[in-house]
Amino acid sequence: MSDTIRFEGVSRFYGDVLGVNRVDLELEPGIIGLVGPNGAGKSTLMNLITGLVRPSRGKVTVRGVAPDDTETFYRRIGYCTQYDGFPLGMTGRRLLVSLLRVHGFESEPANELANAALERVGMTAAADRSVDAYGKGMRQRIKLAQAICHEPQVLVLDEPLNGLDPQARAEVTEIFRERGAAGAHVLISSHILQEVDAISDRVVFLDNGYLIAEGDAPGIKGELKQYPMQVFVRSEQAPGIASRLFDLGQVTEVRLHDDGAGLFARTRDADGFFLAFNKLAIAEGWKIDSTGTADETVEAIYNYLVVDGAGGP
Amino acid sequence: MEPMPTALVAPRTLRFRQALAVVVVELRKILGGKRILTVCLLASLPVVVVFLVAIEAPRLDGEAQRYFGNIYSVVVLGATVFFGCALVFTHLFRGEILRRSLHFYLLAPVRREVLTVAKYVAGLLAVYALFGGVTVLVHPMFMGIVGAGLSVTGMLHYLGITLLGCTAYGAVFLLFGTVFRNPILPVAGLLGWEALSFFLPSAIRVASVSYHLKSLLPVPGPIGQTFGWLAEAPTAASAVLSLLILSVVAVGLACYLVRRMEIRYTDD
Repeated sequence: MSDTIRFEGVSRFYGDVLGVNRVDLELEPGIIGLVGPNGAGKSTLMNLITGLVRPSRGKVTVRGVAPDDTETFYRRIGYCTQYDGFPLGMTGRRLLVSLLRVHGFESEPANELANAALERVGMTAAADRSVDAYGKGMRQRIKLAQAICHEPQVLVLDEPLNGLDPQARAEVTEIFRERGAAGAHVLISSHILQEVDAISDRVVFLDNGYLIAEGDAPGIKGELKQYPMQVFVRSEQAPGIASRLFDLGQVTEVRLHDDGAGLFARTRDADGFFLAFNKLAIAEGWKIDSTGTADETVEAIYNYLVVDGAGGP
Repeated sequence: MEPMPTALVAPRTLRFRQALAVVVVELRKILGGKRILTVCLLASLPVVVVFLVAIEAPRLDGEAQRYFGNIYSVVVLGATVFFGCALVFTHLFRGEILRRSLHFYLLAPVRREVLTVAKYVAGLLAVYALFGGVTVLVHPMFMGIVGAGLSVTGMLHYLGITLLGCTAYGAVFLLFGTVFRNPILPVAGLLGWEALSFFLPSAIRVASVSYHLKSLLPVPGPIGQTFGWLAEAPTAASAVLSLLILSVVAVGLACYLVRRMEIRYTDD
């Protein structure tokens, strides 16, 4: 049995409006960040994975099972949605126990699983209060508890860190890591790119309904031959160094750091740059504190692909 | 990862257990929601009307059954059962969509048909209890006040019609709640159809729930009394069968639609 999430030529339109278009994607287990601006198709992709919407074209399977086989499919899926509604008149505990009973669990295991999930998200103390009285952070946590309570193999999380304080973010992030380490798919969409970068094993970039890149951040960067990488040089002699860098040829832009003790340079050939730079530094006798790449981050690639529009279909 | 315990249960047992869980959740929601106040008001309407008519009426002797039949037909079937079922059953899916909470159900490993039927059963249990209870209450109350003597057979006869009415109207309104974004208009349309279809040829009249229900009354309904030529009625067996077939078809269609249902709350 396949243990991947597969999109085969998947398109989804809402009338004339494009949700996602011609997505071919295969996701191995692990933590996967889903990145893109508003309207990029992130929620559509998540709803397609979880079977809440169907493809207009193509096919989605999750670990070998299609969403139509609801009894098998939804045993494997946990979805923390962006929707903020809850069934009428439920406490946090009752919500979880009721849903676990609908899953088919008997009373005792349903209570045990609900209690474990409540404890995991730090909601035990508030579990018997009405969900309608919960604040944003508590709602987010109870939605997360609902998504993980049946221990799914695939956890889909739409902006799961929204409304959480820093400590809660750290606790919740730890849950994602645990699930990922246990062999689950953990698919996270977030607009906080640093957090996606810190958590994710791989990243899927979407823009205007199109998949524009997928893989780990260095891998994506490596595939983008024309990607103008930013490198940094820390040195007290930064202004003098900056004036000589264009002599190297590989450099397209140089910018001094605000403190005057460093600079950023853009180059399309980082390896070639460092080779030439090292030779020049030795020849000139510059005292260099440190050098490195400044933007192998998800945010930098996002800015290049999405904000600068280099990843257009 | 270990398989979850539910994967080891026989499918039929699992589905029954899931259906039972949905029924319990839905009953809590129906009985705990604000709508139940309106439904209870509708349920109390026959009690008030029957009481007022009974204390104002002279001793009816042989006419008591006909009097009660008229009141039952107009107040219990025409108002309480019709509007009560509309309130409860159109809300089973539409209410969840408006609250943006339907996805919790659709993300559960339960067949959508099981979910739909279980919701319908929960609605039926609620309206059976309320409107069946009202029928059991008002029949002996009326007969007692007008001095016609109690009749358990008569009471059970009316109870059967009430339950059948809830079953048929419930199924139709469940379907309305899955088809229409705003079920008020189709409910109003059905109300008009139910009221006016008696004046249409019998071939068209058979498509009316009330036509079959009123044909089951122990005495002819008010329309039949006034316009004898319109009172042509189906046999009891065919009326019951027609209503049950209608219910099965409507619930079946609702199952089909729920199976294809997507979560797009922004459209609603």
